[in-house]
Parts: sequence; C-alpha cells; structure tokens
Amino acid sequence: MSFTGLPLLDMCIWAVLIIIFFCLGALILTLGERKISGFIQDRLGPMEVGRYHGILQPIADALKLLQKEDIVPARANPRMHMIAPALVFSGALAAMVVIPWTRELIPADLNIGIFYFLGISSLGVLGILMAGWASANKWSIFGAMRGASQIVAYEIPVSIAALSALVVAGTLSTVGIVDSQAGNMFSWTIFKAFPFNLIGAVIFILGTLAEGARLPFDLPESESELVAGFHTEYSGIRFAMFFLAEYGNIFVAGLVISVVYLGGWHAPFPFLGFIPPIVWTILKMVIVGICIIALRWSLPRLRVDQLTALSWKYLTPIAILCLFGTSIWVLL
Amino acid sequence: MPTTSTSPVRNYFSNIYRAVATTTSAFVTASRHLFTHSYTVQYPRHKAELPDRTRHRLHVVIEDCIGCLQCERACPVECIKIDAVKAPKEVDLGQASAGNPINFWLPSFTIDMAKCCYCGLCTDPCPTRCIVMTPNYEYSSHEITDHVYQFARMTEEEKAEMERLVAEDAKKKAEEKARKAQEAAQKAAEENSAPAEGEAKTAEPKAAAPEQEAPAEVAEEPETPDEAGGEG
Repeated sequence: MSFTGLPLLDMCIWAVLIIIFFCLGALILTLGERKISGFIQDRLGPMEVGRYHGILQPIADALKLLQKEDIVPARANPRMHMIAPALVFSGALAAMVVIPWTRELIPADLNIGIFYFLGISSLGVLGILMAGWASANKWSIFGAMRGASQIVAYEIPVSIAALSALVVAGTLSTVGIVDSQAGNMFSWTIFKAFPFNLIGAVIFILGTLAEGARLPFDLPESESELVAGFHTEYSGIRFAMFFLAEYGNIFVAGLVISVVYLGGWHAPFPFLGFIPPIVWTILKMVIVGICIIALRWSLPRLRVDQLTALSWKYLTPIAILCLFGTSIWVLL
Repeated sequence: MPTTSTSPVRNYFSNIYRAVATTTSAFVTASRHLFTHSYTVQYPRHKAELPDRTRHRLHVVIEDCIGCLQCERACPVECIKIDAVKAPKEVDLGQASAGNPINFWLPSFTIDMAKCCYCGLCTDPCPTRCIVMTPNYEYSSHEITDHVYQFARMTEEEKAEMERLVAEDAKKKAEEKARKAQEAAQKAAEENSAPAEGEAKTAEPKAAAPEQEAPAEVAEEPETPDEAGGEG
C-alpha cells in the first residue's frame, strides 16, 4: 500500500509503522502470556500496575529493562556481542513486511511472500549463534548450538508443510494466498484437501514454535539446564531486544498462520462480512496466540534427542506425505 | 516414550498416536483451567480468614502472669526471657484472674519474636493461660531488635520501690539469719560449756538477752488469734 506516492517515503513510513506494530504486539503478548499463564495455573497474574488488572505491566517491564546497565563481559567479543540482538530482532521484525492486515494494508506484496518469510525468519539463527559465540560462556555456546541445530531441523518440515498450502493456493504471494481462501470458512486452506492441510497446519504451528525457540521447544534457553542459554550474558536493552524478538516471533507466527491457513482477513461466514477485515486478522491472530500460550502450559520441555527425532523422524516424513496428498488432490 | 510393541513400524505409529493423544488431553486440561476461578488472595486488600487456632505473634496478659517461668523453660529456642523477683511476704501483689496468688514482681518479660518458632509449647504449661498465640501476623519491621517485645509494665518508680522493699527484706532476713546463727552458736556453746565452765555461762546470756525478746514477740503473734478464738 502506498501512502504518498513516493516509494522512499512510503518505505520509511512503513518501517516506522512495522516497528510500532511489532513492539506493541510483543508488549501486549507479554501481558497476555502472563495473564493466561496465571489463569491456567489458577492464579491472577499481574494485578497492580495500571490499576485495572495490571494492564500497564508491559510498560513497567520495558522501562525497567531500559534502565538496566548494558553489560558486556570482559572476555566477550564486544562487537559481535552488541550486533547479535539487533540481528535476532530485525530477523523477527522483517517477517512483518509480507504480512497482510487487509488487502490494502500490507507493507510489500512480494510475489515470493511466503518464501521470503521462511527465509528471513531463519536470520535469527545467525543472531543466536553470534550471541552464544561472542558471550564467551559455556551456557551461551551450548544454547546457541542447540538453537542452530533446532532451527535448521525445523526449517524443513515447516517449508514442506507451507508448500502443501501453497500448492492449494497456487501462489507464493501472501495476498494471493488469502484471496484464494475467499468464501465461507470451509474454503480456508486448513479445510482444503482434507485432512492433509489440517495436518500440515499442525506441523506448521509446531515448526514455527520450534523456530521461535518457544516452549515446549525452548531448548536454546532452557532455564533449568543452561541458565538462560544464548542470552545468559545479556542485560538491559540488549536483553530486551531478545525478549521482544521472542514475543514478536509468536505475534508473527500467529499472523502467518492466520494468513496461510485461516483465511486472513476473510470472515468465517459471508453474513459476518460487515465487520471490518482487519478485525478478523487480529482476532485470528489472538486466537492462535492464546493456543500457543496454552500449549506452553500443557507440555513439558522436550529432550534434545526427542526434539530432533520429532523433526526428522516424524514431522518431515508426514509433511512430505501431506504434500503428496495435496498435490494429488489438486491434480484431480 | 515407553512402548509395548516390538515391531518398529507399530512403534512408530503408536508413538504418533500417543503424542497426539497426550498432547490433546494436556491441552484440554490446561485450557479448562482458563475458565476456573483463581485461588489468589490479593493480600493487602483482602485477607484470608485464618483458622481458629492459628499460631502467630505471642501475647502475654501481664496482669495474670504469676512469674512461674514455666513458659521460659518450655521454649525450645529460648526466645522468652523473664526477670522475676520474689516479693517479701508482707507485700500483697494480688491475684491472677484465675485465682492464683501472685508472688513475684516482673520487672522484665521479653519475647524475641525473631527467634520464635511458633510451636506454641509455651502456651500449654502456663497455669493462668496468660501467654497466648494471637492471629496477628503483620508485624514485620526494618530492625530485628523491633521484634523483641517487652510485656512487663513496671514503671521506674515501681522498680525503685520494688528494689527498696527487696533490699529491706533482704536486710531483715540477713539480720534474722545472723541472729539465728548466733542463737544456734549460743545454744551449742551452752550445751558444750554448761557442765564444764560456769564463768562463760554468766557472761554470754547478758549479750544475747535483748535479742532474745524479739523472736518471742514474733512467735507470740500467731498465737493471739488462737487465744482469742479459745476465749470466744
């Protein structure tokens, strides 16, 4: 979408908007996670800041993190140590570029949209490896190695699962994918080529969780074994960037899943079409986000061997089967 | 994952089945708790109702304390320190509300709640039930010495009076003791010397004579009521 007609100015406006959306989404998600975690454990979560049920808690958290000293360990490689969080953050941020909020409200409708998303979301690996290596700390390097192996392993099932969705849509463009799901909710990708794309959606969700190092796949930062994994040696604003990137990843995952599988801005039934399209996008993202958070509290953390076995022995072959099934369905 | 079948193919599919089934049931259980009520008590604003016999801060009703020191002895962590001074017979300190006579002054009765382990063992032996555990748990402070509670309520004047009376009593007792000792010595001397020497016999009773009158008077006092009763 163009605001001014000047491409360069548009780019700047979109960049600012994306950062605001991303940070806002991640901040709201931190509160959402704390509240939902609390409810699942029969607690209340934050209740004090902001007078009403702790609604200003994320702002207080952010201010606290910004005030903290930015420590670079003496033995660390300072330049790499400083660049790494920015890289992780920008990797998560850049995925926002191809996500359509509505048909018009999209920073850039690339004709390789999903391909771009899959590519840019693994930029985070580089940042995680850099963070782990530059920290000169055993926990950090362990976490970084785990993160790298995990993200590389889960790229494959995610890509193949996405591919079977793309086979149905017939395009890589995110707007094109959403357009192909117009109609009622049974024309959404998740119900097409039943049950192959449903299984594909599950694989896609699990894979994006693993790529975002999200529970139950949070091995790179497993607190009980590795203190905090690759961000053990980080504090202050650089830790905040890792933190925001982590929650931003969930935010982006929710958006991508709702775009690819849940019909994006389309209403589930045509008679609900009077509600603005952006509400549907946000609603679907929120529902996916809540499911991701609830999944955190239903499963224990996987072991390293279980994690890789899940990817290589189970998800990848099943994703390939789904791709075959969907392809045959499309051909027929 | 534990498996019962031996065939690797069956293993593979039973693993998938188990993973899906357990994840689904866990997810359903977790999601159900989203809609159950919370057990959190928003403490400073809402306080949980405590059970009847909750054991928190100790309290002493000092008017009822008879200074028997049983609580001090019962305390396993020695957090109770009582300074009890025996009152002379002439001084009447009254009674505890349970009827027990009070025979001790209590210039100091401290409980160090920082040491207290809230076992409640001190409350059991108390004959007047004056040491009790209250449900008050809100007494945190910045200084650990603030947790030493002084329950004795004697003023400085009362303490001075107490010291005076005690000193007087001690003096009186010491005199009595000295006199008794002298008397005993005299008696012994009489018994020893009576058959042998006549000179010592005449000299010593003269010195002892004035003192000998006092105990006689004291001894007579208790007898008077009996006599009066006998007459009546």
